[in-house]
Amino acid sequence: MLMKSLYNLIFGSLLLSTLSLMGQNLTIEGKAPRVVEVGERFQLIYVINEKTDAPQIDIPESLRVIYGPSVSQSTSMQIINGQVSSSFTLTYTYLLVAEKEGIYDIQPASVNYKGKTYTSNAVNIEVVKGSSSVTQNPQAQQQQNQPSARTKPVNGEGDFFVRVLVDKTSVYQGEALVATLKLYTTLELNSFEKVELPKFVGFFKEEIETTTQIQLQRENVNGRIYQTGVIAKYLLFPQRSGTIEIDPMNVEVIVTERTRPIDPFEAFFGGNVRRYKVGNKSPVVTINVKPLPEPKPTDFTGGVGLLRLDASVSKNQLNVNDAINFKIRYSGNGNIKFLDNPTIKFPKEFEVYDPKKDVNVKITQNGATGVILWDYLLIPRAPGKFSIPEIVISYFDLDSKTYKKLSSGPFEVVVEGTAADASGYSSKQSGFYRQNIEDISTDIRFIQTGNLDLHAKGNYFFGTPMFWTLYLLPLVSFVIFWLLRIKQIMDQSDMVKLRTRRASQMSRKRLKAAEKYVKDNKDAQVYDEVLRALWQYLADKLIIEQSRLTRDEILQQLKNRNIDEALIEKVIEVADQCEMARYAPTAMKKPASEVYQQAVDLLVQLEKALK
Amino acid sequence: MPFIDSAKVAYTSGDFAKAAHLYLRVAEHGYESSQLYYNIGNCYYKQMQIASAIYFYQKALKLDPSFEDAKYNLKLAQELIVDKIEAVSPPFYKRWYKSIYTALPPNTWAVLTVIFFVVFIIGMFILFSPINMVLRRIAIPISIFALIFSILIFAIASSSYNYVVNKNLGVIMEPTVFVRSTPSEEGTPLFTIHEGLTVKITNFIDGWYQIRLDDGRVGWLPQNTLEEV
Repeated sequence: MLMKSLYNLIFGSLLLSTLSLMGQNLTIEGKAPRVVEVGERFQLIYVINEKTDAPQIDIPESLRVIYGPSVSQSTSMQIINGQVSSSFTLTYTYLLVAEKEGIYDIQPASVNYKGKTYTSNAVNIEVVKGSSSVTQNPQAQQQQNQPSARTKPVNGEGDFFVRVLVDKTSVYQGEALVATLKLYTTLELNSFEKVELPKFVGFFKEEIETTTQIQLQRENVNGRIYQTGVIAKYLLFPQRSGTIEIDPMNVEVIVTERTRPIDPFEAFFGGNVRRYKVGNKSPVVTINVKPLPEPKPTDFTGGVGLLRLDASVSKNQLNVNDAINFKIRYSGNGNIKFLDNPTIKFPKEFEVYDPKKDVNVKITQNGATGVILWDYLLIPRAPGKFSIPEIVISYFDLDSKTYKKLSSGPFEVVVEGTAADASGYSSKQSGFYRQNIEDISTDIRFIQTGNLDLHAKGNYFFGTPMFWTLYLLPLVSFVIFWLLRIKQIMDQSDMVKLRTRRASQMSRKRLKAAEKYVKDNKDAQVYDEVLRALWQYLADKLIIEQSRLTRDEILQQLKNRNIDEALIEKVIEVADQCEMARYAPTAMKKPASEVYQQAVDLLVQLEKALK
Repeated sequence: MPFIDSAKVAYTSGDFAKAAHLYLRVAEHGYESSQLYYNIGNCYYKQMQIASAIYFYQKALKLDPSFEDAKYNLKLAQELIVDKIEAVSPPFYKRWYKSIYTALPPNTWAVLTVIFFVVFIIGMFILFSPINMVLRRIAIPISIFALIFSILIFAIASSSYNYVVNKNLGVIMEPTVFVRSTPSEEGTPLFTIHEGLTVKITNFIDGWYQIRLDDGRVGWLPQNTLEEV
């Protein structure tokens, strides 16, 4: 690319002179050197792509027209892949001379063509004071200048140099800057000997397309007119922050110099041509790269400039196993080519093919502008409602010097069909399209809702007085109960002792009374006393309440106490005899003394049995 | 509680700082619960303040050691801290005993021991009452078991209470802490530990904690470097 342009610089371009094909719009373009010296002759050229009359021009007074316009025309034809394209140019050339310093605007030239008026661009010319080096010709100048040109050593220091020009020296990391590699010369270039371009360490570089031919332009540098040419232009994106140096460019060229003919023979052949080498190394250029402000957003992609994000799905509704396209488009101006790929969490049920990446970025003087497009092909393998999550990226906006957030989506996709349709896809292999549950990501569990079971801080039951009270209260109440119960049992056992003791005493008393009646022969009283002695004794011994004292109850209690049947029989016998004697004394066969004796024996036996 | 509802709304909408602030205000009002501490822990986790999150999860687990969600989130949070420690597990009987007394909160244990004691006393009442022999025969084994259970659970309740009340755990809150051999700045630095690590506190002297790590390392560190749980 570079060498090609150098080649073209030296040998010029190839022109085909062929007849033209017509029919485009008319264009008219004015050209002139940007800088000229006072007294210097220069050309003002108007190029028109149709055959017209000379354009009407309005030239300021200080620029005198010496000659013109002269007319030339050319036709060029190109054949690319069998396609013939041709262009026709008509050139009107004026030869002017500048008479006064200043900046002059030549107003747009106008030309009539098929009843319409077309205008050219305005041409701007700067006229500077005449200096030594460029000796284009006026005779007066020649005499003044030549001695000084003689004395100056032609070593290229001032006559030839190269520079790396940058449009900014302080940029943010990722912000583009334009580096122009330029040469300046007052000498006539013959060929390039050596060209060492800077390496641009620490930058991503993108070459800016320039014309294939290096066009020399005239430029005023500190009052001196140089021919300048752009060797190359780069768009540079700093990769790191800090101070980055652009190392020098080293260029060596062969120049030709026409020496003044000394001997007439030489002069006849047009003078002596001397060739020699000159070289120059450009100074180091320092770029201060500022880091991007902290904190960077988590979704920062590295983008710096002005970006736009668009995303879309081709369909929102489809059947299982049909395909959809998902497109993400970054567009804008900035380091768009160096952005990270987007990371998208597609639903697990979607089969995702590697995206097609389409880069269409134009590198120009104003930065890298264009579009990057990722095209994903997705095939849903299960029915349901799915969502492709929102795509969020951040970039650093250079105008506002802040991070800006871009988002697109989320995209809802409804996949119709049944699981059976889905299984149909792989039925030949496994019969069912089934899969394990996979974690998409892990996160902590959600907060507890509701009233959170709040309670006063440090509220512990253990060891509190209430706790001990709950222990002591039942214990104490039991102890009290137990003491009362003991006393009751004690009391009861006392009563038993008392009654048994009384039983013997009472029965003995009654028996004594009976004995007395036996002696007195009062039979009726004997039976009565014996019977009462017996019942009273048994009631006391068996602890039977007076109210429940019946013959049956006593016999029952005796049986309960496992008293010998024979003894019970005796009790019944004595009781029967006594009762019979009381109510039917005549039927009584036994004498009272015998019954009395029998009762005494019975009581002795009972006393033993009821011990 | 109005704070709880607005905190929930803030948490759900992603404003974790506000949610944490509201929950902390509930705590400042003198309330607590394992669920409240768990929610505060979540708010800190979401703000990536892992040490604070661990501190509140530990507090939640102290109040309710069987809190499943808190255990899960604590485990996730502990995966984000610097220190990885090979824990030496304590003897099996200690582990069993701990798993028993931490299975229920201390108040539940305290109520249980009281209930069993009351059952024992009721049994004794029946035993000494002049009533049906059948009831008395049942009362004997019941009251014996109730007495045994009451004594056992009393011991468990006591351990559980001491576990919760004594501040025997600490969470490191400083990014890097030197652990020294003696409780003073002159002590030889033994090792460093980092933010979010949970340590056992075994002693406290003059503004210095004696701590023990799960792998058995012991050392001293200044009071202000950890928060007691």
